[in-house]
Amino acid sequence: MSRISYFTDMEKSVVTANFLKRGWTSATSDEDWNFYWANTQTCRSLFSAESSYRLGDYQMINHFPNHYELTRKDLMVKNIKRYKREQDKERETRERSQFNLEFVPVTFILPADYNLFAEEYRRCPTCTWIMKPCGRSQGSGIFLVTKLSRIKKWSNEGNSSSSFGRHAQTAPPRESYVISKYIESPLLIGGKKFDLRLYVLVTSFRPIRAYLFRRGFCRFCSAKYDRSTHQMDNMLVHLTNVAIQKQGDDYNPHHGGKWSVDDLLFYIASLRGSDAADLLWQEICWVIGHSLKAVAPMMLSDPHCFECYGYDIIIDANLKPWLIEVNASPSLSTTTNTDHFLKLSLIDAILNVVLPPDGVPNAKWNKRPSAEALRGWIVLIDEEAKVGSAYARQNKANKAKSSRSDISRNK
Amino acid sequence: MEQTTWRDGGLQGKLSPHSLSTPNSTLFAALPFHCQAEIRLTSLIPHNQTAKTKKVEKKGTRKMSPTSSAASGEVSIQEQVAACMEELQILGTLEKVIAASEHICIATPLGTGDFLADLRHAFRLNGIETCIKNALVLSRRRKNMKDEQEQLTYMRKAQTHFERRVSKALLNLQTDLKLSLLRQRSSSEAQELSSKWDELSTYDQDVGSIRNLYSTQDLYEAVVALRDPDYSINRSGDIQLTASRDEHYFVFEDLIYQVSLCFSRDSYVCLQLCSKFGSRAQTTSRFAHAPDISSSASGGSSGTGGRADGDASGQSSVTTSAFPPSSCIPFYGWAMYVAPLCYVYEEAEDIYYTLRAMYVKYWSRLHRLSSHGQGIVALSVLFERLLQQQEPELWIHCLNNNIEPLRIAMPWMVQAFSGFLIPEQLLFLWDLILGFDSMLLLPLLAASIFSLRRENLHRILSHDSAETIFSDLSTIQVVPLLQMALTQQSG
Repeated sequence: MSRISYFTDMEKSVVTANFLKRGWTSATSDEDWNFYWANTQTCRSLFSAESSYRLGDYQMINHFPNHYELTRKDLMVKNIKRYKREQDKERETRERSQFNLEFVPVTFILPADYNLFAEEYRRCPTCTWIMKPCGRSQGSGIFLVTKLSRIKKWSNEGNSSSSFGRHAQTAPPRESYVISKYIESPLLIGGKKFDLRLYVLVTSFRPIRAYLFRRGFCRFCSAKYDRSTHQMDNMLVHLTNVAIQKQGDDYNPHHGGKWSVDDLLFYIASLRGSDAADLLWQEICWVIGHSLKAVAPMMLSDPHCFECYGYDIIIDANLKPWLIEVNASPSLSTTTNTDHFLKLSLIDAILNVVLPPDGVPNAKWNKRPSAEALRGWIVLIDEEAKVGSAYARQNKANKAKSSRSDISRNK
Repeated sequence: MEQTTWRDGGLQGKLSPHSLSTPNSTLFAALPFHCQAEIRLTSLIPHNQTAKTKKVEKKGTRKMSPTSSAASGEVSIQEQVAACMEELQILGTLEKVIAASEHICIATPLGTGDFLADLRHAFRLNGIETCIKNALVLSRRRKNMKDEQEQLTYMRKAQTHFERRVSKALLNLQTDLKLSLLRQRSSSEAQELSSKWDELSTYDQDVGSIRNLYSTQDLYEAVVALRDPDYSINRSGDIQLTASRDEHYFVFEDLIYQVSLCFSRDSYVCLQLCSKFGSRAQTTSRFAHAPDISSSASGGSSGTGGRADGDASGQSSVTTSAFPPSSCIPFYGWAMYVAPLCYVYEEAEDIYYTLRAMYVKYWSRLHRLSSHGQGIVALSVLFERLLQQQEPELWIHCLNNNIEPLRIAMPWMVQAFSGFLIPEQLLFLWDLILGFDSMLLLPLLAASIFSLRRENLHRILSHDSAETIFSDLSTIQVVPLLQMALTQQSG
């Protein structure tokens, strides 16, 4: 192969800079590509039944065709609920983990599950709930609810009115929402709420090969957390999405409200002990691992595909991590210098793992990256790791001790 | 007006009602319990009542110089009393102790017939004894510190000059911004502030117009300008103030605001620094109190009242007061003394007291010119010597290319590496500083970092490029580096 050509749907400098660094050239529209950094729609249509396009061996693309099993809020919840039922059945035969599978806040799909929700609501009438449109991102269309009457109103309006923001008009009339129990006591640092954005790379779902990027970050709200009702509609207090926070007056372009996971773990270790920090990190890895296992059976594990997910996790005041949602196209726009370097090295690290040692995209490759290529990553799951690799040995040894063996921090 | 309740006891009736109402006589009586080694019991007998009373009165108006007769090795009882009272004054408990002592003198039932013994007993029971004991211990410690006050004239002059510059900058800033620095907040302002106490970062203030009063760069200039045979570097160019490095600390913004604000208003800091560095040697401007304290900033009168000359009184008098009350005028980057502590404590109070203790003990030396072995000047000298000794080739390379290592290392040392190392590593370093009780680790680490990056630096031919090599210290591992440096030193 003389030269490698790439194609992108979006001109993100952190992406193209990495392609150019490897000496790749941009493919013209009538030319075939080796590496496609696509948006999710393109990828779906490429793999759709109507499409006549067939990917060759020397082609790779950055999404799985049906990623939405994990990245649509309603489908993710459905898959995890199903997975949990299966695991519960098997439980008798398995050793019990110190963590449980209740890592997604209680969630219902509206309007479909309205009756189930109403039942749950009556069980806890003082709880706050958060409504999110299933298919949107960047925090748009989200609002908090405490009163059943508001849901009724929303339901009666057939969900078609524009009362929930400007996006409602452009969205399809019967847009479905998920409603989740709001985590009312999140861990606050400096009085502010934050969530974790972690990057998880999956190169295959059968067997599952998943890697966690070491350099995740926390995204902070710019306003102090306040549970009182008059702040209920102030999304600057409740939502950490950068797209939301950027609109606030107190948004700081120097740090962009982003704090490294290392700083977070150090903070927790110094205030609550290093055991607490270790346990938290283990549980986070555990949560991500099981969310992937939950969707794996539904996924079309095409060998041309890989995908980097943006995991959103909220830690509550008891240091329990909650999986909020997974994004198929985590933002690659950069807000600060540090952010820029982080995303630049993220793309570089992704390419190191998904490309064979010779650097040429190849769907036939066994997808077993070298230790060198895995620099910057933590191996979350490698179901195929054979006896002989150091990781597998460690894996086996752990398996004897606990059931969460395959998702451990790779030192 | 004879005091009839007093029996004629061991004091042979010499205690006049007047001396009783002068609380300090009770202190005399209580003294020997706490410093028996130094004061002969016999001196207790009030043979020169009048002299003492006079002294005490003098002391009461705070005009006596406590060091007037320190030449003799023996500490006289008068000096003990003076020192003790001064200390109590500093601790802010003088009034309380006096009042309590008076009360005891009047209320103590005289059972044994030995007035002195009764009094001693009563003092012990009421905790006054402990108060005085502590005051004496503190006072002695303070006196030892005074002994290490600046002896070098040129150093003292340089520090005074530097202080004047900073003060002048502050005064100019005040004039330019038409601010009145020394006034109380109006009640509405105070209310607003306390309502926003937990989120001071949103407190509506135009901070943009406030200039940085001085930076580590200014301090560097001041240090290398010292006429010291070890220094003959020519300086030129401009350090770029390093980019905002607060990505590790911004989440604690509000805490840092709270702590810094309290610190600047804490006159305890001022007293501590005064006694540490000598009362006139504090980095401070003195402003006349505005006669209309509660009025708004309408007139510029409060600021232009002029500075009282510190030489005259040597102690804060009623007419002048330090601004800021802590007497510590922050330099650009001062908040970096606060920020790392936010990783150690959750509560502002804990952060505050730790900061204050560390500042008074260590950091205050890092931005004043003195010949103290732990002062920034000594640390700078040590840094250059270590570098010369460990990396002679590198040193010559720097000289030949006008690279000034100290200019690079100065901000590290002045901020005790805060804002340069990642928080975890920084706290390792501060731990070591506390453990060894020595700031010599700062130049040692700085020199080791130069050793570590020697290969890169060798390829560099200008000072500006050298700066970039050292702009990112986030990968530095403190403990191994220091261990390496120390084994190298000894071996």
